[in-house]
Amino acid sequence: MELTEWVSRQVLDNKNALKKQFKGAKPFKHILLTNFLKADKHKAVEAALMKEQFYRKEADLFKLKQTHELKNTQSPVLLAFYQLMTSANLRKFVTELTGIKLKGGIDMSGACYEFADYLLCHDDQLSGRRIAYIYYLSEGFIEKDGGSLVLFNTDKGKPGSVAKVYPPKANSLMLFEVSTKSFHEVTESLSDKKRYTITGWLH
Amino acid sequence: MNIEMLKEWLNPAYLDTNTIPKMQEAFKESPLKSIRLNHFLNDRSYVKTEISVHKAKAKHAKIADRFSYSDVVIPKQVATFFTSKEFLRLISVITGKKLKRCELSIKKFGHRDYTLLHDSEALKPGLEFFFDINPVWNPAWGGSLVYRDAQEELFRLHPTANALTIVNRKKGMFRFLEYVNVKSGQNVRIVVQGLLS
Repeated sequence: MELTEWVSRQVLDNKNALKKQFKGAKPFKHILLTNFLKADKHKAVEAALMKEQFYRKEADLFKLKQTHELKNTQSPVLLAFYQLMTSANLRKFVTELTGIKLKGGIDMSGACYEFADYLLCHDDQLSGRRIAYIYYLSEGFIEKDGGSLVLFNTDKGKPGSVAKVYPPKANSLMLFEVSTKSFHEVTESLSDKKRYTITGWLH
Repeated sequence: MNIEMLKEWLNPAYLDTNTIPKMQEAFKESPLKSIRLNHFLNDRSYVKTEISVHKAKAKHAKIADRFSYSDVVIPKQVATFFTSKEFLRLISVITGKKLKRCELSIKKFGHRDYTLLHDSEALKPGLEFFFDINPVWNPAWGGSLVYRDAQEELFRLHPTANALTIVNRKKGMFRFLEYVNVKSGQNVRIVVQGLLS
């Protein structure tokens, strides 16, 4: 799959600058690629995700709605997005950007946070996961709506103070390295706006 | 048992000699060895406890991947009652366990507070109790105490003012206090917690 078909020039042509940003990011290696997809592709993926079936999930750590794994989706657009994310070209691009070698496996599902939904602090560590990604679809979020991605500083191996807060920004792709330091959370959704994302891990 | 001391604090129903065998049976018969005693303190003692706990100093504590709550400095009278020989004796009689020690703490949970499963993994299994101080509480606000094992949720205790819950937490049984969400507004739930041995 040709990356230029899906990914914006702004991202593809800026690899060296983005690479520096990823490497130097605090509190752990991460980057938010804004305007990740071409505008028409972002709109198509957003529309397709809205039509997927979501299931409510609850545990000590979270309350949210999730789709099944998107590799099994019936939607041609979402399947194409899945193929983009698993393609050798994208893997090569991400490895060049992050310096992290990838074996090629991927997890991918859609998530929807409604009023009072949340995902509390954890580090994402699980065998095989190298890079966590979040692709943001919903427009019009500001910090007071909640649903922000928070990255924590670590203090003696434990999550400490808040280092970064990223409110959802439509058509952005967040990438961060999964490690013993990658403590993060999604703050409680405080408005009626639904926060749609496609998330998972690159192996 | 120093009945006078218990009389001063408890709902008289729990001192009725007919009630004791019923509580013993309820605890023994419950599949997960637990019992909830509603309206545990008499009204006067509950109100007194509520006021003193609300007045006490509290300090917020958070390790984001484990817990977030305020530790309340335990008012003297509350400590005296919940660690007294008489109170422990009553729990002993209900549960059939010999008890010597009560490790008491008071925690306050408001909006954005929680504990995660992770946090109870370090605890030894054993008898524990929770005494609830809170306004009338809607379970949709979060803040329920949830017990589970590796497979499934075992039971869920919604905050209930003036209820004493005794649980015999077995190996492989964990608990967490569900995140208190924005719907709770300014309401707080306070939990008097005792780890018994």
